[in-house]
Amino acid sequence: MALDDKVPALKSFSSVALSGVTARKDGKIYGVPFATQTLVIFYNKKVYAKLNLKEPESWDEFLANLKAIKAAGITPLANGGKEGWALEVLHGVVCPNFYGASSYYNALVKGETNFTDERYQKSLEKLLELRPYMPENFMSVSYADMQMSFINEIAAHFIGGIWEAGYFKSQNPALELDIFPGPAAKKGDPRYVSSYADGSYGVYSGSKNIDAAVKFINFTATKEFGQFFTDNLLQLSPVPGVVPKGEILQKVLKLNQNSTPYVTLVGFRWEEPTGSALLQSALQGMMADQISSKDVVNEVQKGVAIWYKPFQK
Amino acid sequence: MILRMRFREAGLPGKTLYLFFELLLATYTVLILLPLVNMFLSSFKSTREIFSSPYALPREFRLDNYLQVWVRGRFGRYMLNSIAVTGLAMLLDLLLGSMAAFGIARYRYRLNTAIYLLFLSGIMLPLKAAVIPLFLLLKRLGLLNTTTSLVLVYAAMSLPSTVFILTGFMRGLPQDLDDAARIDGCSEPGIYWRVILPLVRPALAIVTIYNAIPIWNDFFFPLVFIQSDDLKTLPLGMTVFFGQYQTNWALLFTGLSIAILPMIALYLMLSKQFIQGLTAGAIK
Amino acid sequence: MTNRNVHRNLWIGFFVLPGLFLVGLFIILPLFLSLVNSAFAWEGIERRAFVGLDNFASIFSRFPYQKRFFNAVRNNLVWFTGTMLLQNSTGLLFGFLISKRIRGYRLYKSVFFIPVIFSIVAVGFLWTLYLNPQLGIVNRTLKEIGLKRLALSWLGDTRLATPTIIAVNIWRWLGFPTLVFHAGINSIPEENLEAATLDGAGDWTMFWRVIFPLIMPSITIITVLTLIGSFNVFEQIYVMEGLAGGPYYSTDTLGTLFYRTAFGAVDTGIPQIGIGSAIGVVIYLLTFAASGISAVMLRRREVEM
Repeated sequence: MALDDKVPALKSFSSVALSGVTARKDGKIYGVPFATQTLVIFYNKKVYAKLNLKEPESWDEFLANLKAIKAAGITPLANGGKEGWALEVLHGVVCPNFYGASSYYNALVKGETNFTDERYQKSLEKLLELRPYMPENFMSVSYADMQMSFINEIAAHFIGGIWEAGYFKSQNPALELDIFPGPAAKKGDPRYVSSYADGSYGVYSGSKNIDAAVKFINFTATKEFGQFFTDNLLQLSPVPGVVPKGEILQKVLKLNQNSTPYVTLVGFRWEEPTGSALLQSALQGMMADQISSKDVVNEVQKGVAIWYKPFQK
Repeated sequence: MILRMRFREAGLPGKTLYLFFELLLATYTVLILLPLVNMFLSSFKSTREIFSSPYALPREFRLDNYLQVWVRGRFGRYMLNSIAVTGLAMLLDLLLGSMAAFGIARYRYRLNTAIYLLFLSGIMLPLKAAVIPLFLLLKRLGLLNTTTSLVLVYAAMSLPSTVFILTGFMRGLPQDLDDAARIDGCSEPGIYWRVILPLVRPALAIVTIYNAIPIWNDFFFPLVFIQSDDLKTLPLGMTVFFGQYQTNWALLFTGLSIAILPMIALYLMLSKQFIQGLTAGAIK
Repeated sequence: MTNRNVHRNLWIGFFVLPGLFLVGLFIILPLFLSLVNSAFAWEGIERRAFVGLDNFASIFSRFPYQKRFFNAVRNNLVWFTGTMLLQNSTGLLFGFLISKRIRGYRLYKSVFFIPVIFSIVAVGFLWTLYLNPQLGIVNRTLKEIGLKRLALSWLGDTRLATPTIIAVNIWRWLGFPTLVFHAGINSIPEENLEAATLDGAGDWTMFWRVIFPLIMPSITIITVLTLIGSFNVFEQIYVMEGLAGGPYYSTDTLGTLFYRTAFGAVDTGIPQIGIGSAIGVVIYLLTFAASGISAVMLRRREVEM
């Protein structure tokens, strides 16, 4: 059921949050989002302290940190390639600062450029530079393995979604973690983070208790609910005015000032073949040296162009 | 037996070959037993212990993991569901299958062969490929997410091979039995139930073993038809431990050990019939 | 029709119809509906326009379906050849050795069957744990005994993934052909073997000229079952690599392609019933044709005892 008129609070939500609940067919809003996610780099504070490292601002500084950690005999990066979606997440953290973040995204969505844009292709190649710092045989490392190695302090960095913060802490209370956004191409440039609306609550139009449902759903758009949500689940609520507890989430709120849509999920996951599915498998091929970055972008472009009208000129 | 190998009489090349074959067989045996023994031993360890000393005997045989898996992992529930689904499907299959075999084997009529072939066609057709219409059909019948859906589908799937095996056995029984019973005033169902069925009891055992194992182990249909956790069968329930966001190695090994126990128990009880059962259909 | 005949036919109906109904409703009807579904376009689970063979055209000629389809078929063929060559020939050897009562045959007979009774899912999960590159027991053992160079990325290397999964499947299944062949060899009457020995046949000749032809029925069964299995393999890959047949489609088969297309991959896919049904129909035809043809071919070679 369309909620535009039923939930007035929706008007004050951010556009990122609303993009995940707006139907493409009629432009109406069909849900109240309950979480937004941001993609970041987690790191182990103890390792950084021991090796006297500072949060990197540029890509080169990041690689230098990874190198130092590897020299000290610790696995620098937990990430692996067995699950394609983890590589998509990796690209969501690393690539925006190289392909031009929202300016590229907006042009892409309008069809003014496409996936074969050199900016996008070159940004994917940055992922290859991380391979020496990934675990041995990283293509066999599954997402669960990745989580485990960061939680058990075997690996020093974990590139992923902010939703893991609560999970990591609960699995190992002794773990001291912090986050920083994907490094900029050049020191001093703004650092963008991919973000997207995660889930939402909707109302079934055939419900026998429409009034009660609408009343409840208005509640989920209130600050009271948003605060309750973020306090208990340690995730970011899209309700405006909600202040998350804890340093990490507050840091993410600040980082979100430079948020950019998580390209493939936000823009191209709504018809088959989805941009996400295409990118996930293709990135596996690239990270395994089976295909080049050019092949990757060609594959994604070819697949998405089947159904994405702006690409069909 | 003529085929028996005579080691002592063989020459050197014969002896070497013999030893080589023994090595192969022994290697495979070790390859089977080691991983399984390791799996069971690991189920008694904590995750940390599994990593630190993977080959050693557990420090203590704690049942902690088993409790967790059974209760928190709801394995008790899943096991019950598996027993219910497999049991009911087999009962339905045996009943309808033996009836159909009786109807085909003990009477002569024009449609006889056609009906037999209709049943048989089910053997070569992979039902998995028709899962979409099956899914939509069950949805229309309101049977999605019910135990009934699994029971009916499994029974249907088992019928072709059941009819095949039982028809073969029933055909081997002399026709005089039926006639004699009829003269004695026995009704048709009576002949089926009291005369023929008892005589094919070994075949019923074979059919049970042949079909029950794949049904018990099946993962695909519960995956497609069952959504609520309450109704999951054991193979599907196990996937919980390999979910996208969890890794507890100790619980994983324990879950695997539990899942395997019923089949091992069954196997130990019936190993002779087991092997006979699965190869009987084959020889025919 | 006489009264007795009617009476008799009613009883036949009573016995046969329930089973026939179940098979008709749950096996034959869905097969037929699959064919029907493949001829339409779909939007989610809503059927739209009739498109005839267009979905099949997509599979065979359009990106990305064509690429995925032929990649999958190639993998299925790898499954078939790998399984026939490694599993079934070893099974034949083992069955023969057990029939010959090689030392320890009783132990082998009972142990070999244990993996067969496990669920594919359990086997897949177990070996995924063991094949974990850093923590799994396979690589750890290899490193300990000094074979570090063999501690490879079993499920992560695009060239090793499918062979690895096939190897695990062979580990599980080997007992089955072993016992089928063993039973087949045992059922050869003594006279044939005696006659051959009297004619001066050694072990080698005995095996290829006498035993092999006489166990053709077993060979037929195993070959046909392997064919059917190879075209329908799904759970092993789903459990060890996921629905997308990773890495980079190297383990994708008709089974995973079908499921992914029909139901949509976990977070990133949308169901496409029309094309999925078409893939299903193709799987049917391939399975049916392949098993039918091989059954006929092998039946011809079966020698009368």
